[in-house]
Amino acid sequence: MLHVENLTYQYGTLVVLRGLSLHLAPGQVGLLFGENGAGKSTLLRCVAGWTEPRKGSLAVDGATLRGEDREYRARVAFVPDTPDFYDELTAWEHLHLVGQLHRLPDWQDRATHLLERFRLLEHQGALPFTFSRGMRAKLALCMALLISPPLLLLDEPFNALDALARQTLWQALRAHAEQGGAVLFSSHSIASGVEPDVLLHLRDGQIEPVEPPDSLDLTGLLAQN
Amino acid sequence: MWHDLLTLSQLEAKRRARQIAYGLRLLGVERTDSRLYQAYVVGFWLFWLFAMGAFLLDAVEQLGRALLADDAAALLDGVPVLVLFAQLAYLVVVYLNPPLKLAAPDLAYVAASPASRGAIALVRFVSGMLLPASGLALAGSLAALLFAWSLDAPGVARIGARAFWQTFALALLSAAVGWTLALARQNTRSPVKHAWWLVFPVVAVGAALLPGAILWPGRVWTGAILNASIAHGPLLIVAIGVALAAVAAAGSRTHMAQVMDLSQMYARIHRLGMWGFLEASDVITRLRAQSRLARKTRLRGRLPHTSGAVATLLGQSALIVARLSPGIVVRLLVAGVTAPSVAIALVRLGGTSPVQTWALIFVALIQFRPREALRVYQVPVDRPFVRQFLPRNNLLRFAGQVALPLAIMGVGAALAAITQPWVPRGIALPLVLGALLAQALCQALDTARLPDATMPPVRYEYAILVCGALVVGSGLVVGSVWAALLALLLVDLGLALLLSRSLPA
Repeated sequence: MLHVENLTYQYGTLVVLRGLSLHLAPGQVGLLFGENGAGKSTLLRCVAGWTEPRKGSLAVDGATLRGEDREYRARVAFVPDTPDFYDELTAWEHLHLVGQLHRLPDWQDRATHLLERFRLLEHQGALPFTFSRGMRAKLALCMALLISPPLLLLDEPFNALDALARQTLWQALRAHAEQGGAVLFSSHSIASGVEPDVLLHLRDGQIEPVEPPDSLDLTGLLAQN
Repeated sequence: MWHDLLTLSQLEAKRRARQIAYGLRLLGVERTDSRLYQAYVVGFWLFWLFAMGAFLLDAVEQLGRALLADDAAALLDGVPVLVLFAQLAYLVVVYLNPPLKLAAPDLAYVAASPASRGAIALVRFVSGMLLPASGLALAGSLAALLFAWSLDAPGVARIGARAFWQTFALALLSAAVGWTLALARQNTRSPVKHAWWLVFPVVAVGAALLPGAILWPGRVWTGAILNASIAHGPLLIVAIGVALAAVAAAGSRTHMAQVMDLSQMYARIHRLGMWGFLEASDVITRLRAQSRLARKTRLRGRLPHTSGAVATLLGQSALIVARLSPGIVVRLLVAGVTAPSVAIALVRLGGTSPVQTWALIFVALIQFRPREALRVYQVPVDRPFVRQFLPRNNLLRFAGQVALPLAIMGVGAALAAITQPWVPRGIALPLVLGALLAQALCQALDTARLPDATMPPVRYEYAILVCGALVVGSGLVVGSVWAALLALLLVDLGLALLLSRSLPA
């Protein structure tokens, strides 16, 4: 599904990612962790095609970012830690716009279902800039889950969410993977019940694969970073 | 009320004293400096002010003596109407920018206290208007001296002093009327608050039926020069008293939560700094739009159910235009009229052959880029999260999100082209519309990436210069304006093709 080879990114003279490679198979949920400033968000932005890496190649489902830019982007959705929306459109209208643009046949039912699951249904008529950080994160997740692209990238998705929404999100991510998609998310802390398939430790600009421990050990592992 | 007035005035006086102390520090005077040094610095700046004032007075006297008496008298006749226009302009300003704003400490302590709202409004009014009114009074006094010297009126010093006081009083009076109306409008619910616009036709009708009353402020000022305004003094004082009472009365009904919201928004704008209005106008526009939308209890319109990306994006852009202030339609029309009018005027004045004419037209096209038309299109450029859900073809997005605002601009441009009697409409209309489309496409390309990584980004200014040179060159070489039109159509086509192949920035 996702193939990253020899990815290098630097801010001025500071090299953040040094020839990094990683692979994620369909149906896998990957957790990216590392210290502050390790380059987790930079890596996710590079994979999403929001930032141009200095070197390296990126491919999702066979489409490369350099060669088939539009096809590549059609297969990826990235939810950053601070998503931004149209000021003039309500939460529902954002989902309406996305559903119609992507010609999803049953977008209304799916959008209603997602808003209900994330407990945003009663705020569907409100403008997102009036939302709290957690509500904005939920709306962004609803938009990404509505189109459900092959690869979902999430930057610190659990941070702003309440306990119930964390559980809902994890169930949604797991369901997405079970349908053949792949998920890569970064996190510093983990909710109980969250058990990623792949652990990717980002250190010194490189990925160090870690054996997936059980969730109790995982919390300890993240606490060390 | 009186107790609150006293307390708030003391608070304001302390704040002003701190500001003066800060200003003095900038001039080199510290509180801890010796008295002798303080006297020296104050004396130095007083001498400097005196020298500058004398220079200014001398310049005004020379100008006044050079101005013919007949011309000065004719100008003086027009002053009352000018004053009326200035007052109306001020009303528009306070309509767009409600005047009652509170500083951060006031938001925390004063607004939340049970202090009289009328007292808060009155103290803010007096404190906010004293300096501008003094500045206007100085300018009014100098203008009066100019006329007095030109007309060789007796008692020039007395005229200057009288004009100073009367300009000061008139400025306070006009500002008080503006504040009262703005505060009353802020407190009123829709649709009554839209009746505020009736002020303008009422003033226009008043000026026609009772010119003496509507033009009274301007006539008071001209009377100061013609020695005919002594009787206006008591009337002015009474009018100011009534106007201040009206400010307090309108202020007492102030919805403080609204004032606090607006104050917070202006504090965020203020934080952008002195040049924020020029360099961060998009941020300011967004903050204002957010503040306006957040106050709405019912949003206008809804997204239509359509099939197809372009139709959906058209619906989205129409909805956003409908939800923004109605001013956006006026701004689009004005923006549409401006560039063609300037270009047509330049061609009319300079002819089509001189290089200078075309250089100036290119400068105008670069300066008047159609930013407003691309507002919706531009949003995802700054917000990549939203961008990833939109069509990846930039031309498709352009067709959906720019068509409607560009059409409104096109109406303005068409009006500019067809209302010029000496311009052949058959050719002017397609030329103007084609040029507008080219401008919009260049602006859209400015924020896109070309698919070939080795190609540099297409900057708006260069694109306008190259495309403009092609169009003008074709017209001049073939010697026909139809050749220029054909070149323009080809340029539009080429730009559209380039945009369709471009990638998001």
